[in-house]
Amino acid sequence: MHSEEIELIQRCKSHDEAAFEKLYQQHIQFAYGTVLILVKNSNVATEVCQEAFLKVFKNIRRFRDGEPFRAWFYRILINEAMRLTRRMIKWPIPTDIIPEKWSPSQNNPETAAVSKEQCIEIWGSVQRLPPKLRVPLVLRYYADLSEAEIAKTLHIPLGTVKSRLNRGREGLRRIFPQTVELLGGVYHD
Amino acid sequence: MTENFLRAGLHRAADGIEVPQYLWPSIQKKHVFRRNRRLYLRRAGLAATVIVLAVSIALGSITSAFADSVVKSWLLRNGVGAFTLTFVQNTGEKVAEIIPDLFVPTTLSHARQIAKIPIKLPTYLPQGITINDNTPTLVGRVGSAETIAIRVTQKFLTPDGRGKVVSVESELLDIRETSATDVTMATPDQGYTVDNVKIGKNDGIIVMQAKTSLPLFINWSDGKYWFRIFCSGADRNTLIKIAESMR
Repeated sequence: MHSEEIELIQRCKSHDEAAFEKLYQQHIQFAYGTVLILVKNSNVATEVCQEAFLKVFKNIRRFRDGEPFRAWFYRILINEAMRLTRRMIKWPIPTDIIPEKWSPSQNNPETAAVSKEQCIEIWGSVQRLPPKLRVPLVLRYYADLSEAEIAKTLHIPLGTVKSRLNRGREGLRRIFPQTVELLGGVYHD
Repeated sequence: MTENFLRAGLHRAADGIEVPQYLWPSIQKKHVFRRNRRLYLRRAGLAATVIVLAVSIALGSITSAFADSVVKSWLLRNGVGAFTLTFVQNTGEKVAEIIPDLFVPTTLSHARQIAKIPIKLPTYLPQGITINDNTPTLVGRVGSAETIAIRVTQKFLTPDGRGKVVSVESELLDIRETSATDVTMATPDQGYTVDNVKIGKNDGIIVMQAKTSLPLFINWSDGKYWFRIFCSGADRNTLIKIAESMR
C-alpha cells in the first residue's frame, strides 16, 4: 500500500468524514463498474456499492494495517453483490446505458478500438461463464487486481486463482472466435 | 490478445456508465443515520440493563423463606458430585442473594490449586469415611470472601416404592470453610438444641436434634476462618474430635 493510502485509512479509522469521501472517490468508479459487469443492473449495482461502502465505513477499524486494502474492500463488495443478487432475477445486459461514443482514458487506449456492439459481445461472453470463473476474471481484467489480491478477496489459494483465470480464459476462447472476428483481430496465444 | 480484448471490452462497457450523482449523498445520509441508530441502541441497551439491574435488586431482596428456593436453584450436579452453596447477606429484616464471582465444583487436588485460602482437613475421621485428592470440592468466591466445601458421599442401590432399583446418594461428611467475616452461626428455631462447645481454645456451637440428641453440625471460628462440619452418624464427641483435628 502507498503511504498516502495508509494515511487515508488511518484518518478513516479516526472517523474523518473528509477521508471517507476521498476513499469513496478513489474506489467508486471501479467498484461500480465491477458490480455492474457482474449484476448487469444499474439500480442493484448502486445499492450494492452503497451497502459495501457503508460496511467499509462501519468496519474500517477492523481492517488490519499492512493488508492490501483493495482485497479487503473488494471482498466486502463481492460478498454484498452475491448477497443481494442471490435470489434475484438475472437481468439482460443494459445496452441502453452504454454510451455510443466513448473517450478512453490514457491508461486504456485499447478501449478506443472497441465499439459499443463489440463491448456488448465481450460482456455477454463473460456472462456466459459460471460465476466462480467470471468473478476472478472481472477482478483481474476490469478491477485490475493482482492474482494475490484476488486470492485474498475470494479467500482461495493463489493456485486456485491462477487455475480459475486460466479456465476462464479457456472458456472465453471457445466463445471468443466470433468476438475476435468482430474486433477485426486475429486470435492467437 | 484475448486478455487485451477482454480488458478493453470490459472497460469500454462499464467505464462509460456514470456512477449516479446521488450515491455519495445517499451513503453519507445512511452512514450518519446508522451510526446514530447504533449509538441510540447502545444507549437504550445500557438504560435497559440499568433498569433490569435496578428491578432485579429490588426483587432480589428476598425473605429467608425464599432463601430455600435459592438453595435449590443453585444446586449444581456434575461428574464430581452435587453441591448446594448459598451466599446470602443479611440486610436488616431481609436476606439478599449475592451472585458469586467464582463457583467451581471440582476435586480436592484442583481446589488446592485455585483456592486463595489454605484448605484445612481433619486428621481424624470415623471409620469408613476417607478424603483423598479426588474428593468432590467446591470453591466459591464472593468479593474477597472465599468458601470451600468438601463433600464425601456414598451411593447405594435401593428399591423404590414401585419395585424398581434406584441409585441413592447419601451424605457422609460435609466440611465448610470460609474467609467471610460476617458469618452468623446458624441456630434453627424448632426441633434443635444448641450447646456452646470449645474447639481447642476457640468457642463454637454444636447444633443437635432435640429428639435424638444426634448432632446436626458443629460451627466455630479459629479467629481467621469459620468452619462448619456435618458428619453422618457421628455423636457429639466424635464431631468435636473431628473438629479439633482440623489442620
